[in-house]
Amino acid sequence: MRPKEIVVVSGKGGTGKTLITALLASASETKVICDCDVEAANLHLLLKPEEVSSQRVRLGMVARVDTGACKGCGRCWKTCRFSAIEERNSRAYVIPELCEGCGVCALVCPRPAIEMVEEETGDVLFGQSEWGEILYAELLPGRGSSGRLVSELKGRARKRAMALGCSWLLVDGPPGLGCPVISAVSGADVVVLVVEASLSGISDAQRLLPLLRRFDVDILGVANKCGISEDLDRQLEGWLEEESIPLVVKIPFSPDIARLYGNAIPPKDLVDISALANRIQ
Amino acid sequence: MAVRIAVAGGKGGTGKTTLAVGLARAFLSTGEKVSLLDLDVEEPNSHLFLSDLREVNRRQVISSLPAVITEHCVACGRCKEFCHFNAIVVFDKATVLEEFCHRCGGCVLVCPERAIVEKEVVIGEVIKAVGRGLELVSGWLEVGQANPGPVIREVKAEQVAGDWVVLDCPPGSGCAFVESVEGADLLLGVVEDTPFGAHDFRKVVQVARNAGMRIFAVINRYGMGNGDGVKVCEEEEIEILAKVPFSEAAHRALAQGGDPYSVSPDLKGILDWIRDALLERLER
Amino acid sequence: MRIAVPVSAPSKEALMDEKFGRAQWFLIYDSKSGRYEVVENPGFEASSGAGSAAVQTLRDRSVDVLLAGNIGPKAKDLLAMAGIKAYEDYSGRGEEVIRQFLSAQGGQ
Repeated sequence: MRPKEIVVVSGKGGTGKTLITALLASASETKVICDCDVEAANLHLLLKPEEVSSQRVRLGMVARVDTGACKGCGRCWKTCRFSAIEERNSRAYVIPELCEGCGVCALVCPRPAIEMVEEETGDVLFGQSEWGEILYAELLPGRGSSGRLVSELKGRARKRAMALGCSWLLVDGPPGLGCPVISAVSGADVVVLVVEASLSGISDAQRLLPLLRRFDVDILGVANKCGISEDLDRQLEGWLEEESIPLVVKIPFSPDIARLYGNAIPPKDLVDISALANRIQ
Repeated sequence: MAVRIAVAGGKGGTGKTTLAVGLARAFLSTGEKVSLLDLDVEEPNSHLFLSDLREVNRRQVISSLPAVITEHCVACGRCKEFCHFNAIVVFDKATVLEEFCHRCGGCVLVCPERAIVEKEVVIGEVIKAVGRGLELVSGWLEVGQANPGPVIREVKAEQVAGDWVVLDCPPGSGCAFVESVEGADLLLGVVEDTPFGAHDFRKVVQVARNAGMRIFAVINRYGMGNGDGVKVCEEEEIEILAKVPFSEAAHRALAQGGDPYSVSPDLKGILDWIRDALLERLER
Repeated sequence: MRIAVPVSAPSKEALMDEKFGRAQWFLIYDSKSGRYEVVENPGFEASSGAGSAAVQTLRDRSVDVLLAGNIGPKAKDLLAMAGIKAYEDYSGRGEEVIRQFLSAQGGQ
């Protein structure tokens, strides 16, 4: 049987996704853990894998102009939709940070003076920890293709989990609701929606939910940092009920948990997510 | 010439929005004209702390999406071959998969039958609200759209009146963040004093350095971590303007949408301090 | 008629896989010849675009009908585009599922 894929998301950042993913890891015998927040990878700092091996991947393309062959006709900079190629000294000049790698400039160039070359996206890393095997990725700062890096990372994690005969593939998802989140949730069997009991936390989760519904997934709810305001707690619970999302675990707001976590010590004894682990089983 | 201050940190939940709104109010209290741009278009939050502002303008962000005219499509597959993003599938006819499409227009150009045209799609909204001398422009990515870039650009393109423009940036260090921070005069990093905050802030610093931006930092929730946040600033020679200690009372109020500038005298004092430090260093 | 069921192992006794796009194999039954075949699903390993890779495979194998548990909205669109009739709410072993479908059809 293929491993069950569990993805932890929340919309808002800093809500406890990484913590919950790590705790779920200790609840399963056989699993591979994958950190899909490729722009701000934190899971490996908590789980501290050893003997980490890394591989540089090239998942996007960038345009490169042969200035010798370029005659400055301007077709490319007039066609580029991303303002990523401009005229400099009567020749075409690519601004790599803005280049999406679509290939249209190379297509319209009459010479040809433009070729598409592979661009380094980042690194995929994996290592062993006492919590299990961990795969994560580090996007090179400022690069595009973070969604593709997430997909590449998940693909490798799936293969690994399959090869090891794991029952679970645990995925720590990225914040937001754009490309990286879409890639992270794609293929999930279960989504754990972590809702922070704050105005921003609830608002962000509410925005994220319609996106999650487009996928063929079971959604389980976790409320984190509860107890700050009864009103907010009630709002949160009421919303999950309206949306028929089971609220499986409620974690109270606790400076003790925050302090331990802030020192990269998993607060295992202070947080109990066994109900979530059982529900997933 | 307006000064643009980008507030970012890499890690999510460090307090960027709190600081951005609080700093905007701190500038406002000295009689300056301030604009706040919420560039976290996937999950905007600034408006939650500024609910008293009233909306004065709302406009849609429109993008063009390719659509196949099936009667003319002969399923030659050239569009699928060209597309660098695997956004086209060809069964009987070609179909564009919206969620992967980057709207480069390439398929329209390569189709020998001219069977692909572009239709307009709403990908987001830009909303302007004003009140108490403050101008808030927030961007909202249409949920389901994968790429925040165009909406971020539209928020930044909005004409604003402030002499101080505070940019509330999204988390992360990828292209959404780069797009947000581009053109800012300085980066004010909000750094969590933990290994996570430090790790993520390093990436943000790299981007800011490449852009030639001045960088200052504020350490948030000071006392709740292991000191790595402070360490990374020291290593990167980034001046720390303030170390904000964690306060449960302030945290509670902020979680409920309280105004950062008035939830506690301590926080107000810190925000004023940061404002004055910036004024001094920018020689204003 | 050629009927496909996503399965978790390459045999007609294997259990159906809930997630059709990510199943490792497709079990295909040809009602004319009465024969079974098993084909690998490239969507299983694909980093992205699993749904379209899976549908493309079914199309290439001239599948007319897909039987599955739950089919997501995007996959449903792709299947419709490919001219494959899809039916949900099935479960059990591959061979059983196909038999259930055929008897509901009035047998062939």
